Amino acid sequence: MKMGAQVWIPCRISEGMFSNEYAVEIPLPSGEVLSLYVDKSLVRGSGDNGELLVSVVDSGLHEGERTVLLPGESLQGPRWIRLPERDLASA
Amino acid sequence: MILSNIAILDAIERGALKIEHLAGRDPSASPFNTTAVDLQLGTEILVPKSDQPLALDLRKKGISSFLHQHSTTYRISEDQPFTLRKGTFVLGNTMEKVGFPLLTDEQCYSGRVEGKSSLARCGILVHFTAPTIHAGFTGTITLEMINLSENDFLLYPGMFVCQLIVEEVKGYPTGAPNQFIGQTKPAGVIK
Repeated sequence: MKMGAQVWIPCRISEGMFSNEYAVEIPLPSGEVLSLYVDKSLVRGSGDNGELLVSVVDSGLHEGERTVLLPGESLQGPRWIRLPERDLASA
Repeated sequence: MILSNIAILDAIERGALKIEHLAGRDPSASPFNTTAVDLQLGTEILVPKSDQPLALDLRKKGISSFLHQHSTTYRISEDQPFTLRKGTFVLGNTMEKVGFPLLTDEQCYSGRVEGKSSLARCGILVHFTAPTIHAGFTGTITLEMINLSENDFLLYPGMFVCQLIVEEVKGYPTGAPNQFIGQTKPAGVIK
């Protein structure tokens, strides 16, 4: 996966505040969970089996891990997250 | 650098920027301004519930669902506008969906949403703390609206409520920039 590639990452999906968005929660390897609101076009699946479309923004510097950029700011703050490469599915 | 109306339209037509319904439009007519594009209010207004005392905790699991459950959605129309009472805070969003794609072979853009002088003269804020639309964002823009005037104010769908300023991003925004290395909270890379 090259830098800039769009990939799907696992997330939990629930209703958003506006009708054109979903609330998504992303579990991190650390056990923390990030939550954010995203446009419905960036999500597929439902409930605990959801996936969120994000961009890869590193060039593979960290073995087995990739940094991805969330499509919006999370309620907890971070927008960059590092995930195991096996959790990323090509879009 | 702030994009002119012509440069905004050019970026839209190259696919480097998305603003719904603007492709092919005359850049010398509304909703274009010389250095911005006016955006319209959407059809939903969200009002936070005030029926019970609570302290919002952004660290709590499920906070996004909680915020949804503790707000009331009003659908507005030409016949049924929303009356924004003085001193009241609500959320709205733009009718137009925008997109600032991260393209490795194209110029990236970011945006800033600003109020309009017409609403400002009436004491209406459409954002008060979060104007930046970062590169990589896609969706409608959420507006944090407050009525600071002494009068009520009617909100109609489709009214030009804010303006979007588009700026060039210098360089490609790669991950793990130096200032975030090793930082895990509140805004750095979480390992």
